[in-house]
Amino acid sequence: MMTSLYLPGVEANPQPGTYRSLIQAAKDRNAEYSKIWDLFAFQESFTVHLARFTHGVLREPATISPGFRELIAAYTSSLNECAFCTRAHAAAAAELLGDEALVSSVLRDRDRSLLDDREKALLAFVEKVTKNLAAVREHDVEALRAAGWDDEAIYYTITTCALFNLYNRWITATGVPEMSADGHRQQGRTLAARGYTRD
Amino acid sequence: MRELAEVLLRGPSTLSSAERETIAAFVSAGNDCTFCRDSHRAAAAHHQHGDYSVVDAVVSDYQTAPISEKLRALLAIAAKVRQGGLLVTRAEIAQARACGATDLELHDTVLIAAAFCMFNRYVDGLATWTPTDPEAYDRMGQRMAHQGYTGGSQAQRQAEVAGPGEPPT
Repeated sequence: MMTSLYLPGVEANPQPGTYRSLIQAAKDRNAEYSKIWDLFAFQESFTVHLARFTHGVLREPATISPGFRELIAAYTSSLNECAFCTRAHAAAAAELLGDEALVSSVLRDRDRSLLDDREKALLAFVEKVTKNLAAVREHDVEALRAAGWDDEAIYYTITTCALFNLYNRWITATGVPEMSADGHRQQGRTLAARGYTRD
Repeated sequence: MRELAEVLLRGPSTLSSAERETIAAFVSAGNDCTFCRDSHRAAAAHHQHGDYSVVDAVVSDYQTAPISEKLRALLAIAAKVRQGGLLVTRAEIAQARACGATDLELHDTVLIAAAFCMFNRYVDGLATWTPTDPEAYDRMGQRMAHQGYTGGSQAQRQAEVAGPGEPPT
C-alpha cells in the first residue's frame, strides 16, 4: 500500500484523461507509480498547460543543455528539501549527462563538486533566486554574462529554477512520497527519453 | 505561462476569483515581488467593484483582516507554502478543514501559492522592468479581472503600463 496524499479528495477524484489511465494501468499491474500523477490527474485543465510548459523549459533546444537544466531542477529541489523532485531530476540529469558521479557531487556539496567554476557560478545564482529572491539584482546577471553565459542560458536557468520552486512546494505541501530507488531510476530513464508531455 | 494564471485565478473553483487574486497578492507581497503584488492586488480589487480595502487589509495583516475564517485558514496555508512546502503538515491541513475548507480549495490554495513562488522568481529573476505608477497597476488589474490573462494584445499591455497618450517604450 502506497502512502496517501494529505488531500484524499484529490487522490480520489482523478479526471478522465492521460494521467488517470496511467494510474489505472499501474494499479492493474500492481506496480509502483509516481504519486505526482494523482496531482496531474486531479486538475487536467491546469496540468495540461503545466506539462507542456515544463517540457519546453527543460527540453527546448537552447545554449544550455537539457541535461544541465535537469541538474538545475535537481539542485533547486535539494535547496527546497523536496526529496521526490531531487531524486527524480537527479536521475534524469544523470541519464542525460551520462555522469551520475557529477550529479551526486553537486547535490553533496556544490562548491567542491566536479563542476567547473563557470557552472558553479550559475548554480550559486540559482541558490540566490531560490533562497533570497529579494536580494537579486541586475549585477548578478551581469556577473554570469561576464563568466561567459549568454542571455538564453540565463533565461532557461531562471525559468527552470522558478518552475521548480512551484513543483517543490506543490509536492511537499500535498505529501507526495518518494519512490523506491528502482522507481526513481526507471522514471529518470523515461524522463530522459520522452520528456514531460504525455500526449 | 499566461494559460496557467488564467486557469488558476479565473477557472472553475469554489473559491471566488477575488479570493484567489487575494492569495496571489498576499504570497507575492511575502516574496517582495512588487510587480506581482501590485498587479494582483489591483485584480483582486477589480473583482470587488474596485474596492481595495479587503486585499489591502489581508496584505498588511491577514490575521485581523475582515475576511471569512475559511479564507484566513487558507491564507495561513499559503504563507507556509511560500516559506517552504515542508511546513505544511497533515495537522495544518486538518486545521484548515475544520474552518470549512474543502480538499479542492486546499489544493487550489497550495497550487496558487506555489505558482506565485514561480511567477515571482520569473519576474524578479529576469529583473523585469517594474512600473512605479499606481494607475498603471490599476489599469492592469481591470484587464486581469474583466478580460483575463489570455486575452488582449502585447500592444494593449504596453499601453496600460505607459498610460494613455504616452508612447510605449
